[in-house]
Amino acid sequence: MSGSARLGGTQALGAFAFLILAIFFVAPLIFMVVVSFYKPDPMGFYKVAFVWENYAKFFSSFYYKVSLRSIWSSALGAVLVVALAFPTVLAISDLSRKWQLFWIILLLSLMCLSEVIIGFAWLILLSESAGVPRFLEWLGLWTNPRSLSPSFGAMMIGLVFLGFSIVALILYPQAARRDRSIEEAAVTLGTPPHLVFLKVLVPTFRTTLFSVSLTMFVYLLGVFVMPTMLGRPKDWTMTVIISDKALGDANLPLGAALAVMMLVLTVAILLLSALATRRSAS
Amino acid sequence: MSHLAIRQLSKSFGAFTALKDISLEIEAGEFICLLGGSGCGKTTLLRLIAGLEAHDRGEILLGGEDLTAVPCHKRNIGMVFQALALFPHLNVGENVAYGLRLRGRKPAEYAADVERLLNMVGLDGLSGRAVSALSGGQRQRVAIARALALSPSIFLMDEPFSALDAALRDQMQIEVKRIQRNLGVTTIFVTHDQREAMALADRIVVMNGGVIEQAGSPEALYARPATRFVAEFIGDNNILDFDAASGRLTLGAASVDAPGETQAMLAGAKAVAIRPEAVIATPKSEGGLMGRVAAVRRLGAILERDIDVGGKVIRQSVFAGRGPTISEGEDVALSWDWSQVWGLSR
Repeated sequence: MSGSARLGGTQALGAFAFLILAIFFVAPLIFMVVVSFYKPDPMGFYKVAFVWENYAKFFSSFYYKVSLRSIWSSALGAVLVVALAFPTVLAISDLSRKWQLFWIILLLSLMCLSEVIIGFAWLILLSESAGVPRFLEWLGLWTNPRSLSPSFGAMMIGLVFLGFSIVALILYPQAARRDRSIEEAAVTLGTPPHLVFLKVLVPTFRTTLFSVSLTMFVYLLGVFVMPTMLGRPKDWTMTVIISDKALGDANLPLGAALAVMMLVLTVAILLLSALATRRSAS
Repeated sequence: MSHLAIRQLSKSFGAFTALKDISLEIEAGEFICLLGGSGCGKTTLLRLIAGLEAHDRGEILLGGEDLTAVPCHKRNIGMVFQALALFPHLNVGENVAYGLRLRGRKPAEYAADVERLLNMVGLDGLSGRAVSALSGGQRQRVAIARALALSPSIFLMDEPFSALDAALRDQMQIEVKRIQRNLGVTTIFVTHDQREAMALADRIVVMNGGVIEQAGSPEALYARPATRFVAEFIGDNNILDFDAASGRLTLGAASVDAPGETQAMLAGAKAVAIRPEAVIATPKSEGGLMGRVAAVRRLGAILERDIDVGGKVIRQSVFAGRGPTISEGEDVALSWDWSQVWGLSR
């Protein structure tokens, strides 16, 4: 096959992918932006008009606070997921091939679980009648056990559980292929083995960890089930509020405006992060 | 008392025995090369000295102190790894200063030391450069400077030049030798390249199957190999079976009697080693040991001939352009300088 023919094939594939994106991503996005300027109609979803009131509502204290809380919850969740998954993956990558395979299959199977099933499992585990509170009572660490959910902590546990296997599987190939002699070199230069993780591994992987954290941040921003099942109403993220407004209150224009604002905030955070990474690299 | 003493050292990985009762004494300032093929135990020995692996039996004494209970990070050992293991997140100067900073020294205190070390390895002015922006040779130099920054008691190098091209490898060998001589640091260098070992070492330790086959100066190992393995590993050699009782050397279907005085020298030998440069081939003549030139190779200044004698190939090397012209397929009379024939007892 000639070079130009191969290039033509690639261009055709690229055009097809662009078309799919335009139909299934850009078109709904444009629709959402347009609807966000419509007037809400209590009898239906919206009335065609051009109003700013939906955006004005976002800047009222409630929605503003919810959006900041969503960013905080997702950022904390992302950091916790990466902080737990990274050392775990390093430990897995140092096991024998047989045990590495076992853990990878386990992580993959965790990804197959439905978000609802995971949420219910944690609801039971954190409930007053079973699971963790009873166990802590049995250990004598808690005299009057009560349910640990719904709470911000329970929601965080759910988010971390949800993201853990994804981050672990993203990090695994690089962790498994890493040059172990760098860690050994650090030890020969006087680094106590327990400090090699912080002094060498974290800095060596910092770019990867940063990009995985960002990916996880965006992913957790969109999680709906865990905040609903494990969080209190005051812990609910913007995803829950958007769904509540658009579907519960039949106020599609407000839901669309909130979604657009979250999108703008997320893109702004990602751009700022990319800028910061580039500046630190240079 | 030797600077580093290794006594009865053994190490196994599961059912595989990597080292068997290794004993070695190394003097201060000596340049030792551990030489052997893959899996001979040379890197394992280096890692045991560094403390990156724990030995099963025996002891390692550094300046009289038993290192068994001393963890790697407290041994004050400088090591250059095969993959160099430079810290990718640090620049050249920060890599070199890593150990100094870890010891609590402030940038103002170690800046001059880092400059001196970079100057010593020929990298002055490159302190702020990213290691990813360096050439292979420059990365080698950073690894050497970093390992030497803490004035280590022993400098260990694990096949550091194996990824370099031949010209750069020769240049780095000269550099390493110069630095080692200037600093007088006791150095242990692992290599599978006998040419590299010959160029660098004060003493070569030839290893095979987890044991030391022979340790000695490059000249001694070349001229007087103790075993068949060493004779074959160090340079080219023609190994011929020898019957000490009859004083006869066997070359396939042919044989030749050793002179009386040589027989006395070869008492107890089971084989003999004859270097290619000791072999003499003259154009066809009658009598004596006859052979046919199977192949001729011109290797720059050296001409190599493979001569078939009764099914056994004898290699001869001569300076190109000297001696009679002998072509492939030509019959020759073969002889050698008996004073250079060396007996091998095992």
